[in-house]
Amino acid sequence: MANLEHKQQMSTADFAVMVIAATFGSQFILQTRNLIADAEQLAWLSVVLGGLVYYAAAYLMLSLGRQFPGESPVSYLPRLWGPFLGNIILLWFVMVFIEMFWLGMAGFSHVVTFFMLERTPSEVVTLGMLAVLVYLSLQDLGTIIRVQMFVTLVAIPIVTVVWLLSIFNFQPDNMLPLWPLKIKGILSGAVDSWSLYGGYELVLLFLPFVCRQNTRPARAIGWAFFCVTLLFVSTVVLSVGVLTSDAAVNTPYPTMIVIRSVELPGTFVERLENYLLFAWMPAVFSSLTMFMYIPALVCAQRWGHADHRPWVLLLAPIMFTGAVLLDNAKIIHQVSNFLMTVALSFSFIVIPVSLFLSWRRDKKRRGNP
Amino acid sequence: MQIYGAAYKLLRKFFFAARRTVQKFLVILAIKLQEIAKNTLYSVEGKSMKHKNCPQIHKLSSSLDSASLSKAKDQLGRLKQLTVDCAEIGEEISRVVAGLRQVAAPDGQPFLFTTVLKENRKLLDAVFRDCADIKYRSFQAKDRQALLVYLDGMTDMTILEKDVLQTLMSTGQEQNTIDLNMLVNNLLTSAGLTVSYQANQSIEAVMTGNALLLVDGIAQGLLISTTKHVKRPVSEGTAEDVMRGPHDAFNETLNDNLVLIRRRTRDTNIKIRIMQIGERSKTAVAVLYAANLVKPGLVEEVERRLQLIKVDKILSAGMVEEWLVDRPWSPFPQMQGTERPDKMVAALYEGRVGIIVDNTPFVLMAPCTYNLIMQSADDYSMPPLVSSVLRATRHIAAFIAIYLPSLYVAIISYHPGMLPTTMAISVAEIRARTPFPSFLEALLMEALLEIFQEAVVRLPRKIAPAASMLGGFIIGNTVVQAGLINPLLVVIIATTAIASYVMPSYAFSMGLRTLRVPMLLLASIFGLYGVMLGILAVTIHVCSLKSFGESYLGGILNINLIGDWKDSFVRLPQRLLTTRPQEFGPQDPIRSGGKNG
Repeated sequence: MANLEHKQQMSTADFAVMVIAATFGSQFILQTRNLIADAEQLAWLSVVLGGLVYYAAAYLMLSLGRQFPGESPVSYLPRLWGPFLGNIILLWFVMVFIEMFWLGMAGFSHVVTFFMLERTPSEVVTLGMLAVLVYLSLQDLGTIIRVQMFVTLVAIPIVTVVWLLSIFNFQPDNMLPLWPLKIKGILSGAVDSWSLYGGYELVLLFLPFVCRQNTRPARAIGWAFFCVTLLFVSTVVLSVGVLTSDAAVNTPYPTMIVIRSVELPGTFVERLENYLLFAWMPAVFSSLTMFMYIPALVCAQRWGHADHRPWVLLLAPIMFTGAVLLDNAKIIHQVSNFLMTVALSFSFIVIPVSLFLSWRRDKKRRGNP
Repeated sequence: MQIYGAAYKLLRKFFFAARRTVQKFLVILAIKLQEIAKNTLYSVEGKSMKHKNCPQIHKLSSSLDSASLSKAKDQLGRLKQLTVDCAEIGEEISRVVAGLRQVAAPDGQPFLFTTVLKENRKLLDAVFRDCADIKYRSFQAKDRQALLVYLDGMTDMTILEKDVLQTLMSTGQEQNTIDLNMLVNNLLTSAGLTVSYQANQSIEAVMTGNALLLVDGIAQGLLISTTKHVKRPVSEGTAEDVMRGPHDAFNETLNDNLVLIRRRTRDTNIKIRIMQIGERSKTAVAVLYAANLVKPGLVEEVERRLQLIKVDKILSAGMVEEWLVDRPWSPFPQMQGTERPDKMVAALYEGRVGIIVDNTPFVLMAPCTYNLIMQSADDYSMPPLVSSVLRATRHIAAFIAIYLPSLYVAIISYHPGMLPTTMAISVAEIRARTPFPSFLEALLMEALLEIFQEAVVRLPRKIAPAASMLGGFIIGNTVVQAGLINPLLVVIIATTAIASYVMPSYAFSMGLRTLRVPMLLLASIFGLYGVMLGILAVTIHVCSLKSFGESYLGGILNINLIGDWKDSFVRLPQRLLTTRPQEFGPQDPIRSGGKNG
């Protein structure tokens, strides 16, 4: 696709980058501990299984979108479910992203204040990031895609390189026993790994923007899932390999402890945690942008506005307030569980039923031409 | 007309009445003053007779109320007001007179030429009133009276004498009567000859150095191309020096600049459209493009934007640029400027549009991307590997030019733990000798640097090296010795300044300089987090910029335009640069190997 003016379309490559940007965000540092708690040494297997399961969910969304080519879910969901239920589902969809924003932003602010800006109120950190997020969300889709591509292609490779330096402290023995026979834990971990992959729901909204000429969005999304799965697998494997699963579970942010333990004697670069955080910030920014832009876009489409920008400004205080209110681990845990329930039910109940409804509708149409 | 007449009469009456009032007032004032002077003198003499020892002198106002200072002030104020009113009335009258003098002419035309030469001369006199450099030469052309009008100093007198005056004034030819056809077809031998029916066209032509020939009995003017004026020859560029590329650069003359382009390519697809901008200056602006390459709609968009410029004067390409860009508040240049004809030709063959403004040696090219700004003409005259390394250096330098001082402040103030232990200790030791916090230190240094840079740019060339030496010495040595700034910061700021000089575009380097202080501020508030917020804000801004619809970042890190990467961060050998950049949407993407390659 040529690099042209105000873009309202995206290529499959852009589509894949958007999925990577949305999924690889704050969770990289925040959620590793929970996964290891579930599946211990085999957390990597949970991550792989989770990747497959959530790719399947994304595939279902793509299938639903294909039933209504060029149409936004904001227009076809109320048609499928009726106006009342349709609007409830849209609200459900918006709430998933808003809650993901709250959790992501709250976790990010805590990590930044904890490791970089001690004694700085986390609200200040939240406000700073929110300003930049609003600035990007106020741009057109073409600019957002461009920023996502730029940031993703710069930040994620740097995060990966810095993170992989922790391989110097990797102890293969920590991965033993290789098969701890914790099937339940592995499955539970696979479900919990939604917290890593959360954000793929955007495919439902962005599919109509994807160019429909000679494109295979399913394959592009597959590649996106493959990339993030590799990154998440490396995260849990290195965390367990460096710290042991027990130590990782007892640490609030195991990835940060892992990177802090890396020493590169004789080089100018020391204490890598700040470098990792510095490179991680744009990744968080990318995912939070999507979580802010999507609710604004859905609201704008729902109320028939051509411009999503007033909605960004309207939602910004809500986003800020929610993120600031999640100020302790207990609330964060509760909201996180609630979010997972809401999101999983959306992916595995609402979408399949919607798909079924659309098939039934098609059948009826074919029966009564 | 009746309204004008009535208004004129009314204003005239009012003006004369006002003048009479002022005159009367002045006469009365003079008489009164004389009387006062006499009375005062007598009273003083009388009193001195009575009181010889102590002559009593009173204020003038005590005996004459109208001579008091306050009264005089009042009268003076009234006088001033009257003078202002008179001036306003005068202006109004001139406007009315100008309106009354207007002759019937189509819209946009000051008048129509008539067949009577004397009338035409009067009309031209009115237009060229107070233009001392406009010359009239009356002469007898065969059986008719003729008038030559030209602008002194911008006209080639030799052509006028040889091709016009000698031909028309000679009496040797058999034909003694002349008409328009004969003038055009037989008599005037000038190559550039145009018959003008419109007074406006004729006036503009005279103002650009052409001669206007008017003949009695002919209601048209003849425009003879005789332009010749003082100009700077084509010489070496001053802003974009190269080692191995061509050295000639554009000058201030539009025609010379067009010749420099035409000399480099004999392609008839290179089209030139000339238009005039500036309602008073009527500056010529040329739009250049390759007809079979340019993205459809781009030329029309450029012309549309140029036509929207409604301003009295255009003095430089910079003014045009500001009118054309989408975001004039952005610190980054959104049109590429160059003084190098080879760069312009390369741009045309990439499917871009060139804009040459008369009287400016810098031309504009659109669309413009960050990628293009970071390219230099030298990149294509050096081995690809070398130019790739140089390009990478430029990108790194751009990063350093904005962010290095802020990274310094962030690390020193918030995250000294990121430094190696030995270095952290030595930095702490150095910093202990200076009184300011690192942010203030950096700000002070930035201010000093900007002052010196500005001074060096503004000073005459002979003094500038002395000033820069003085600045370097003061910054590098004295400020450190005085304990105001630590030497590490001097290194940082010097590196930053040098990094900004690496940029091939001066406008871009100025943009980078502008962002340094806001970045410093963010770093001083939030440390590295602030720097990252700044980086993100700058990235968003750059991504949101559009140059004639194209993304300002161009193909940089855009996987949809991966084909453009071969001439972006790196430059591949010429034989591999087979396609034109996709980012400009050229009609013919094949550069070499195709039927034209």
